[in-house]
Amino acid sequence: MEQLFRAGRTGMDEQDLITQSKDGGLDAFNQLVLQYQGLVYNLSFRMLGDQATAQDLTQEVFISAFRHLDSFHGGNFRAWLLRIAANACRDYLRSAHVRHNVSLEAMTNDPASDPVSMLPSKSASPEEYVLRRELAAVLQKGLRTLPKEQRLALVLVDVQGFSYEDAAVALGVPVGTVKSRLSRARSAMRCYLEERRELLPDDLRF
Amino acid sequence: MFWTILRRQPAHVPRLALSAFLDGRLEPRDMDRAAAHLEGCPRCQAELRALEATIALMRRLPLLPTTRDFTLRERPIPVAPAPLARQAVFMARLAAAASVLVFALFLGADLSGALGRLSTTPPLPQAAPSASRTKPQVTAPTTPQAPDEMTEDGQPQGTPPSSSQKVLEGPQQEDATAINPSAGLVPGTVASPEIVTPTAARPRLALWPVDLALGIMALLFVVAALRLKALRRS
Repeated sequence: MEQLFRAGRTGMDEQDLITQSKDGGLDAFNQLVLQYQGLVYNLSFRMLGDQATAQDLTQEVFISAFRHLDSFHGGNFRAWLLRIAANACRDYLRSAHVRHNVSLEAMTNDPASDPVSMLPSKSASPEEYVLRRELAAVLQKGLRTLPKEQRLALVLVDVQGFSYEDAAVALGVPVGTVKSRLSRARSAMRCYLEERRELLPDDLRF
Repeated sequence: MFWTILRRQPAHVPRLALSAFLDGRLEPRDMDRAAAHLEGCPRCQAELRALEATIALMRRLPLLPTTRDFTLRERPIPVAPAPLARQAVFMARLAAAASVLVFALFLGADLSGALGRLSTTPPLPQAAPSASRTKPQVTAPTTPQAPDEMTEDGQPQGTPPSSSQKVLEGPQQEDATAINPSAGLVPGTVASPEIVTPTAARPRLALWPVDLALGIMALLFVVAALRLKALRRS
């Protein structure tokens, strides 16, 4: 799993791939897609909570990125790509039809979009698997209760492990804004989880 | 920001500050202050543990593998840098804002009477400006009340406004007839006050059709801008 994200961070020939992509090289761009698709998909999924929608959005992000490669003038390509993804998530959540298409119930009842159905469970006992499944569902529900900007900050920093600085670039806001949004998001999640403490693992029950 | 919060609430470390404290993102002085407080405060320690557990739980959310390939099969159709629709919406918004501004300014000027004053002020009488610029015509001493109302420079306080002053104050008296005080101040005459109507010489322009036209235009522009935006979204 980590390789999926580490690949995006190292990217030995990334600059060359970007240059070739800007010249219209589809193969070069597709190598970038393979590097970063996990990152974009995970952000989309955690923001929207629906697998099919996250897949569509991920595809749109890469199409949009290819179209607007000319606007990338060097720097952090990963952050640039995540900014496109974050904006796509914002736009999607802002659109009026979201409430009808993606409901919380649909997300939690649909096995295909179960956030834990793809957990590596070989080492886990059936009981542990069920507990993990329930925990992941609770966390995903909790994420959906947050305002979208706070959710973005929480997903980028706490779920995907970005630094404040990288998250600030990806969100297009100052580091101080990331800090305050993250503080509020964590505080809200803490309250949400406190009300469901019976579902928390023993070592992290508070 | 957190420093001010800490200073305001010295009793406990606020939850929002605890998050930054856990990440080492407080100012050094605030970090020390929070750490010192946490050592002796079970309540804040419990808050800190709960927040730590929350972050640990969030980090346990799995990073999901992608279930399909998102590589592009063919080159997407390039998009123009500034799509026509976006330009149209921008222009419509600009036109709407400009027309509303013009309408508001014109209506405001009309209602305050500034337009009528500018356009309908008649030429000043010949004698009035010279009289006001030179020595004021002192007629007050002939009246019984004059000595009590004299100022230090010899000008009577009760001097009636000159004709030029009256022109400037004209609009305030437009709807009422005014008594010309000078008529009764000529020595040796006992004349009845002369009734004059200042508005008779200054007919006010009928500007309401312009107001109406500008208002309709502004409304149409605003509706067009909103409609264009809705169309673009759909």
